[in-house]
Amino acid sequence: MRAFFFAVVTAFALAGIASLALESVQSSSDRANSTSAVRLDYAKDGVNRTQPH
Amino acid sequence: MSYSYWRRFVGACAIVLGFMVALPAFAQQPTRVNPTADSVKEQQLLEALKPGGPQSVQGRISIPDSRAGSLIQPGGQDWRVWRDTTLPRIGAGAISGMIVLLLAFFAIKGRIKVEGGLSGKQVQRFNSTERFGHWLTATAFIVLGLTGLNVTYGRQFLLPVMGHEAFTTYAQLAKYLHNYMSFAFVLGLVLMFVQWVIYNLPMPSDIRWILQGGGIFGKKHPPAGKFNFGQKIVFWVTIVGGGLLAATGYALMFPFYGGIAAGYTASVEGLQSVSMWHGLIAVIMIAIIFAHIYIGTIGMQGAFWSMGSGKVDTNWAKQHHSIWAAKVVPKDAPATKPTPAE
Repeated sequence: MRAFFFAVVTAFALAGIASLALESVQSSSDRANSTSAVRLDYAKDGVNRTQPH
Repeated sequence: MSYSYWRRFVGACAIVLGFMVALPAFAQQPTRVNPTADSVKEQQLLEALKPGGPQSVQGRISIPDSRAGSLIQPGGQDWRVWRDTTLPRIGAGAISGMIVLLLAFFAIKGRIKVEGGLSGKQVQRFNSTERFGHWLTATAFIVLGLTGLNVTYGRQFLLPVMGHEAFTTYAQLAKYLHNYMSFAFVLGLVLMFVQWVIYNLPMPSDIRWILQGGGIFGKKHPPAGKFNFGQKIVFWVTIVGGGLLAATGYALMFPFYGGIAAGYTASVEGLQSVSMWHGLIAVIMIAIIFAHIYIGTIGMQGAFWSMGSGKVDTNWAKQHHSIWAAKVVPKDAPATKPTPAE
């Protein structure tokens, strides 16, 4: 039954690794899509930059 | 024409022209506050939602993701009816129907025993890598199944028992587990496919297995290789069904992304369709896997150890997989009561 226990541990370990990797990507994506990030981008580009409408 | 005539004509034209210029401006005054303006807009919205129209009303939003600006989408109502009513009924029918069928089968046939008894000699059926692939898929499938069923039935059955706060915590944890356990499931599928596909290709002996219903009809067990036809069905259902579950699941995990599924995943309507297929395939697979678990545990004596220790009794091998047993069971294995194989 060692294969069984090793498989169970591996399954949850893989899930843990995937969660750490994807949650960090998700948080950066959330920041990029937030209104505060938009304002930040506008500020970086300079207040006088002409914005396309 | 006299001069006075032309003077009156030009004067009349000037007056008419003056009215023509002044009238639109004059006319705008009472209509600027149009009491029916809101109704007109509402009518336009309703027209947009009718069949043949855009089928959605989009608003303008200030965040970069413009797809979040979908305000009204009537297709969502069909999807909600499917999610709240149709899918739970199909799932309950498929899963409970399979359980009833298996109970009836057990009541009629009982546990399938090794005819002639156990020989006491064993032969290796699955090595540790094969068992690892199977249990990796099985562990992930059970977690995915339970957490997925929570989406469909949790509010109905668990919420009244657990209470709102505990159910919310559990549902959130279940959602994360459902998303991330999928990677172990896909790895398990790949391992199983690579190791077993060669044994699950059609063979002439499958026809005899089908005609005898896997041993249900007739007195003799049909011959079979390492995998009999029933196991081949489970294998291909797992690979194809699991692959479809992974594809639809990842489309839902990463919505609005392109690629080959862009037609489906680039719109809210497409994602609703993907969600419906994901749920339907899942409940059918859960029902089929119930049968697999039954026959691998209480349904058949000696079957579990092929995935437990990896070794099976030689009599079990000869009974259920005679073609495979002829290749792997040593010639000097003790003679047992000749029994037909499954």
